[in-house]
Amino acid sequence: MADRAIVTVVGRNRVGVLSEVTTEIARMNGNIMDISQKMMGDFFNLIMSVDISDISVGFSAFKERLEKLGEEKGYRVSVQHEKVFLYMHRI
Amino acid sequence: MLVSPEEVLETIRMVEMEGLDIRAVTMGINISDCSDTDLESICSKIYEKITRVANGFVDVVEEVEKRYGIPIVNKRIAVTPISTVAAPCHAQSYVPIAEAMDKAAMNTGVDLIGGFSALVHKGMTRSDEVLISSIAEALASTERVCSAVNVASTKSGINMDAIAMMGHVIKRCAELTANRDGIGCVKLAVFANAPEDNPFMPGAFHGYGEGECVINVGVSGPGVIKSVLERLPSCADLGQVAEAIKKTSFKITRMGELVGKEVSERLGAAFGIVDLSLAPTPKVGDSIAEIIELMGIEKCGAHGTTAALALLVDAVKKGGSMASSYVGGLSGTFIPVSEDSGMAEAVGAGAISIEKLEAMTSVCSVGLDMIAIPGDTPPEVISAIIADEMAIGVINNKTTSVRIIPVPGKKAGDLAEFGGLLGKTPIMAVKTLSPKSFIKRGGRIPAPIQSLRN
Repeated sequence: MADRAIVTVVGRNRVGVLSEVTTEIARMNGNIMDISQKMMGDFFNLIMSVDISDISVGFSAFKERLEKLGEEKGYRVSVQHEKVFLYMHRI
Repeated sequence: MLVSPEEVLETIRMVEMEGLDIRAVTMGINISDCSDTDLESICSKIYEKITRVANGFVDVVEEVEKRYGIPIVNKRIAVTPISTVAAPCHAQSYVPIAEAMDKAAMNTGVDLIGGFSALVHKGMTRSDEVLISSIAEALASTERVCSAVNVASTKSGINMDAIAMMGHVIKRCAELTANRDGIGCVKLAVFANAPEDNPFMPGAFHGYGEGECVINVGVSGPGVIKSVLERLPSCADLGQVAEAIKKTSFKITRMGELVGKEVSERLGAAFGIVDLSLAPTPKVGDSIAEIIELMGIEKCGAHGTTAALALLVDAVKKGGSMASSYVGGLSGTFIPVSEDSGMAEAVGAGAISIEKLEAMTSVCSVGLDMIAIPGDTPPEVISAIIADEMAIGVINNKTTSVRIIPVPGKKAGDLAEFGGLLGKTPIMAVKTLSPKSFIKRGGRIPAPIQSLRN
């Protein structure tokens, strides 16, 4: 089974957010498998499932770079290994 | 996606808004092979082994914390009870051993180290006596060392001689830390039926039945449970309340299972257990008392509290036990007065007494915890409070314990402040009628008939 991370992005909607985040993920050779986006008023909630089996950096760096991107651009990025969600919601 | 967006958001909400965290990851280390006839050698062997085995422990835990985005609040170490390890050296005091443990804890970066302990439920060896008489000074002169003494068990009965000693030890502990409201006592607990794999302090020690190195995890989520109950309609019956708690407890405990497995795999250590106890903090919203109140009791401590707590603890156990391959430790609910802001408030409002807390311990774990009492409470009264709690544990075949602080110079109604996660609480009144002759009799209360199970 592929190694996957769940990347969630929350912030005020503007043009270009999705492009910024996906570009950074691609730079690190992450392969986006699934995307879901929900709007809540002015805020967007973006959830991506990313295959990280072949990323060019370590998990910590992958996480830090995306979180830093969010800080610079004005939205919140969280990166967690998919296992945490599978463990909680599946028997 | 293998998980739905709703599930992702639910997990994130639990962590970011409802206070879900892993309360403790505790590495249990066998140090029985550090025994020696020379005290100094014991100290250096203990220091060397702990720092070697726990090298990288804190780093691994922090990596796992980052990987899964679940805060892991405390990293701890628990060792083999010192009274056994130190026995061959015939020293008069084991304070130097506590100091070595303290240094090792600082070197490895853990916040607490347990195991300055003795198991005396049937009788006391000479070494057990030395350990017990060293406790007060050891806890006053170290930062991170914790101590537990098991004075009773369902199989053996209640060691009233040990309990008489512990009344004096607790007083002395408080006196030596009088300038900090007797804070030495928060690192000491007296137990009945102490578990060998408790990840929480001060009760944690590495039991005799364990292997070389084990990882035990304590989860926590009173805030998560509280949020689930807030979302229930007020007409939900108690069966539905229990069901909601059970499902949530499953999810909370699963986090402990994940972390425990991952940390132990990365360290090459055995995975021990997940302790599914609900452990509050002084933070608002992270309170067991508030959960009781949400269930419909006006203030925690009012009539109905014991029943509500029984429902809560049972539902937590049922949900949690499905979540983990190995459940152990205390696995109940903590009711530490100073560490639970709702509980401390109930004390201040006069809603909860020591007697009610004692009743509550018959249905939940830990026992009388983080209770501040007047500084002039006689040692025999403290011993009698302990004896009552031990009796509840022994007769009902469960763990109970007492962690009580007689705050020097303060009386009932004054405020005791311990700082940080230890919180603060008004001092509770105790009965002044004397149990002195009862405690003076000493001896051992025989094991109850329930112990004959073969």
